Amino acid sequence: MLSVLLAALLAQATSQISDAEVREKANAYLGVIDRAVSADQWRALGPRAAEVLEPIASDPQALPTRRAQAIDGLAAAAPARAAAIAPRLARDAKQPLVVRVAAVHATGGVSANAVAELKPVLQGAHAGLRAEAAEVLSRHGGCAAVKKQAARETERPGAWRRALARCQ
Amino acid sequence: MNKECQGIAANGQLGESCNGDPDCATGLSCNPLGIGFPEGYCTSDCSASGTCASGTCTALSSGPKVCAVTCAADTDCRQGYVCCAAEGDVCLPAALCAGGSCSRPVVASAAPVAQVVALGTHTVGETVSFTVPANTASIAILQQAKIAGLTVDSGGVTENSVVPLTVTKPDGSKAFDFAAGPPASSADGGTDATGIYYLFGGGQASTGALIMPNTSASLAQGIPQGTWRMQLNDYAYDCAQGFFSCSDGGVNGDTYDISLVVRPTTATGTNLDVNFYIIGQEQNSSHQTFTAANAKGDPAVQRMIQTFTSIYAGAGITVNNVQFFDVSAAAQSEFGTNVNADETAPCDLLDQMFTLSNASSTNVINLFLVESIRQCANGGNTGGTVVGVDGAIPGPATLNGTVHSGAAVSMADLFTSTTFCSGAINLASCGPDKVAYIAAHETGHFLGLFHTTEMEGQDFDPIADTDKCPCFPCASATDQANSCGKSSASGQPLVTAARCVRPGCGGGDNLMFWLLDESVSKGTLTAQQGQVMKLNPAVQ
Repeated sequence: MLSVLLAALLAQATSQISDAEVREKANAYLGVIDRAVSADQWRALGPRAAEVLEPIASDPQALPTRRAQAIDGLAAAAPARAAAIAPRLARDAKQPLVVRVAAVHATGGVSANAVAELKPVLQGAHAGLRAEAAEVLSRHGGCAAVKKQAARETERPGAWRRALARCQ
Repeated sequence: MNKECQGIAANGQLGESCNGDPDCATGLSCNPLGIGFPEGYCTSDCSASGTCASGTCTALSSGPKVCAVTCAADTDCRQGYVCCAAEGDVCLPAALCAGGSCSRPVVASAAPVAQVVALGTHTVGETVSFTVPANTASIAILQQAKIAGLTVDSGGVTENSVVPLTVTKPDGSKAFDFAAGPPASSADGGTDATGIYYLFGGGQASTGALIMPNTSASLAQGIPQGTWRMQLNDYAYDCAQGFFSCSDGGVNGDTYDISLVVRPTTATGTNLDVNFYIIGQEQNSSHQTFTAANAKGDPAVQRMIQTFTSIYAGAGITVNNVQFFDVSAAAQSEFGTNVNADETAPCDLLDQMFTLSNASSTNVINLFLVESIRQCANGGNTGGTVVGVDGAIPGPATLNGTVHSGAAVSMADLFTSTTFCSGAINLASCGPDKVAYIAAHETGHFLGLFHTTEMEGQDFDPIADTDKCPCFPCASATDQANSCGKSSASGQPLVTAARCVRPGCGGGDNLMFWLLDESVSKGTLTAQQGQVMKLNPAVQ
């Protein structure tokens, strides 16, 4: 009951924010340094934040960390829009690594078919990205794929250990 | 220990605490704190038989083999003990877990010998006295765990941070009082932290530092000569003493190596040396793997160093010597992509990465260039990208190789958009400039600076000459009406940099503002911020 009340209060607060303020806050969140913006903070901006975030997430000229933060925000504030771009970015080996890492996490959160979408990443060339994919899939019904890939890994950095622990 | 491993039947079973052999069950003896077992440890010598009726026969680095409790995780072990994988998954004091995956080194200070005072190993609860000579500009109190547990269970696992209960000046007044707590949040900026003598930067498990002065009050009052006293403490001791509620009883016996770096006014300097550790496999400007060997010849790296240097020049600090270090392939694999900024316990990836800074024994700032840092904000599944994270505020200056000896910076932008890197600093489009800015910001934290204003406009640094930007009257009208000073259920307010560039609402351009805004941030540092950093022993 309390959570419903809090959600209602939050929704009311969100609806009171002007378009300009949504843009202002979205841009500010893209500049955080020592912390990540929480999913709740992004969600409080609502789907209108996508007008700021989606062009940045997709812009190959934008700085990679800014793109990654935009993907994070898009996944929380406008999941349908994120679902349209995150899986593709996650699998695209030409994208900067930090963008792909963010896209892998976003895909796990917004895609109904995350296991299939991320399987190529789980089996891809970059060890660290494979580990990130394993961690994400361990939370989204992909334990069978995670265990299968784990058997092929010669080294298992921290993210692998977390993934396998979750899958046990 | 001369008893055989045999059945255990009574109180004082294998692995339980003890003061002496009578506390342990038949067939067991007590390994006391004196040989490294906090609160004692009922065990038996299995050197001859190699087997145990219960637990696992474990070879200690000191020689004998003892029976130890089998475990799967640290949580299976008593307070003060870890599940030591290197010794076959048994509960041991962390310091006896030789070759374990978790390293918590105790290291020597790289400060000039004349400035270092070794105070030896002390147990929590002890009062440690030290003499500060006349004309001392700053003191750094460095505490390194010899034997201390990793966590305290207080209804949720908390890192076992080391922080003095009190630090008392020669005149009897408190330089620091842990019980006083942090300054209250203040949405209208009404709480002024600049008048307190020392602002504690938060928990630091295993390795902790207090470096004074770090506020306007202590800058003004200086470091008085005479006998100072510090009551050594960690959270496990807090728990054992009943200072806060916990479910595991706490520990009275954790021990720490204590040392001081005492900087005379005649030895204050303005030079800062920086070591960059390359953790990851980025392609440099020439599409080669970025390594220490090619770093200084790369134009993007040169630009990054130039920008970093110019930011610190603004505070009167000269970035003197910059070195780059490669790490092993195993370390790249372990830390390059998967560091989590949420997980900051001594045995987590971030802190273990910082121990790689033992590659150098000189007095430097260590910055770790990684490919990606994530944070699972508020425990959420999706988390978010982080561009920099400090090891501690302040960092343990002059100590290389500890779990807090550095800061991590994302290098994801370093070799991108370099065509926009001529002329003035361009945070919007020049990747190396952005990396330099983040590196400078994290260095500021390591040297003792706090955010001038935090995101919500309710918490501020203890420096009087930095402009503040309180939620009232600086946030948007909507935030002021709905969320400033209220619970998060009303939404979280924030003060953006653009709202913090006018009289009464300032600091948006400061290096230590909570965010980087490409059109507002200038990397500004005030005179007092510069003073705090120049008095840090890492600045020579």
